[in-house]
Amino acid sequence: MFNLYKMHMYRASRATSTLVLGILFAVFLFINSALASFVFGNALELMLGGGISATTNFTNEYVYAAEIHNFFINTSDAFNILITIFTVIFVHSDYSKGFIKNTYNLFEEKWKFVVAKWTSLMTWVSGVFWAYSFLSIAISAIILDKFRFEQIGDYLRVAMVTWLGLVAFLTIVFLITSLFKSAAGGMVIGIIIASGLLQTIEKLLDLLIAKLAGANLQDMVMNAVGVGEKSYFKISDYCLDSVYLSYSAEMGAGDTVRTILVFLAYIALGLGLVILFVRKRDVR
Amino acid sequence: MDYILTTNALTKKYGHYKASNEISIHVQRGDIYGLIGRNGAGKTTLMKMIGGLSHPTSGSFEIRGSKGENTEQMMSKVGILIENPGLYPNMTAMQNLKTKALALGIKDDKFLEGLLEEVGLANTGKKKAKQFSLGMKQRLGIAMALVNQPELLILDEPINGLDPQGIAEMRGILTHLCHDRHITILISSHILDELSKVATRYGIIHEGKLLEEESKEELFSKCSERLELKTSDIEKTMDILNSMGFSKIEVKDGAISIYERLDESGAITVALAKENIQTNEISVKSEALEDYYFQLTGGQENA
Repeated sequence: MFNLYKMHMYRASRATSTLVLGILFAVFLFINSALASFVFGNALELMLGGGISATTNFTNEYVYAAEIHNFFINTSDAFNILITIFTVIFVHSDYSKGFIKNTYNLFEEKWKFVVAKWTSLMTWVSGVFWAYSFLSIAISAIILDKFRFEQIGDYLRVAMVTWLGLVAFLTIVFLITSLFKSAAGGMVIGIIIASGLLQTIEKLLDLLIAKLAGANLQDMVMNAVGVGEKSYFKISDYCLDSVYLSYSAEMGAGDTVRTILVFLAYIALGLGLVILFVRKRDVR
Repeated sequence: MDYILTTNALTKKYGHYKASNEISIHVQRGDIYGLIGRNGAGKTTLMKMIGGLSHPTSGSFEIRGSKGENTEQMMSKVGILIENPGLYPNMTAMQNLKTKALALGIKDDKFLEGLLEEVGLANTGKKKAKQFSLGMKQRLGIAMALVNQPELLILDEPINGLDPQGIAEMRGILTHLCHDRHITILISSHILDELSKVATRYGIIHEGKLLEEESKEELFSKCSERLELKTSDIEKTMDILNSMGFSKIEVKDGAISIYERLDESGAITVALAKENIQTNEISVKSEALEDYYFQLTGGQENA
């Protein structure tokens, strides 16, 4: 299996798409840095000639690494869409190019194929994730006056949890792409999750569940934003996109544990289903 | 018989359609076994099952004495090139080979270079696979199939779409692999003429069924020129022919077929007349491989 892992690492390292996406990641890191200087810094204020001092109220007095990490990674559409594209190309290429015919018959236990491919994909993705995170912090430290190298514990917690979230999210993209042997399917699902398009529906379902449980309008709204006295079951707490996109340093231990468990469940489900489907699949 | 591959009623169903219908073939070690059949006859389906890319609906097969559906032991010495070669277009020939070699834990670059040399791609250097001609891609596909040092090579339509020079090169590679490296080859094609130049044994497939399985000699004897003779007394005629020294004789459907000395029809007629045997018909007949195939599969409209 380790040989298969090495094969996937090698072929991705030689792929043109890896190089192109690497350049795009660098470009978006630069663009996001510029955006960060507007959101967290005083660039907007300077542009407007100091006319709106209130801009300082948009953010806290200081900016910490965890906030920067969230801004650049899990709440960034650009990052998530690019990483989705990489995943889909990585997963689909041996099917689309027919290369799988060279290796598929040589290993009886097909789960080895799935696990080796998934592991090498996650190695690449993790490399990009941590590099992007560290670079975003390094750039922010240079360009943002408000940036402080404090609360590193929060950063590590957020980074580890969102890394697990990214693994879970991309495992689902891996599942869809493998299942339908379609780049388009994986891409669409990935982009829907990454952009948070389903969150509106999930929030609506939260409201409906609360209503069915006898909540009044005020309770429903308070419950939806998570500050109500009464707590009702929220389906969005268990939906991958909502959990992944909403995790931040402000979340407590209970929410962190729930978030980690949700991510682990999606990873197990995604990987398990791919192994199950591939086991008896013909290569065409 | 030393069979490297046998299939036992191998069947593949897609819904109600049987793409492969209880096919039983027998490939001897050292054979170049030609699977003949028109497009859609079931050749690729059969090869995919044998090559471990597709699961049989029923039936079984045995490779190198190992029985099962797809075990690593069985497949470790099987090389396959089914339909188009599976190549990464942005990689060089060497990089493509290395990718497969890594999966098998092979680190010997010299061995891979040797494979490229064997298929005539040693000088492709940094040229990417997408810039290769069809013939070069097919040859690289064969090199890919050779990475795991197979004893059995399964090649599906490897000469399809090649120009005459490409076909000749491919023929040379196949002959070399079989004769020099002692690799048994199962090859399919619908180009009968080309297949007849390399194959030593044939399986004719039509609509998912194996119609005939025979050696090159058996097949060619059915297709070669012969004197066909019909007389009033077949037994006496056979005695006279034997006394004249004819040995390649066959009696079928009330006619005698003679496969040698075809220019001696006059002498035969005189000899029969002397013994008061009436010659009803004597003529030279021939059947091309293609005609024989059409006859088996139900006519040219099926081809």
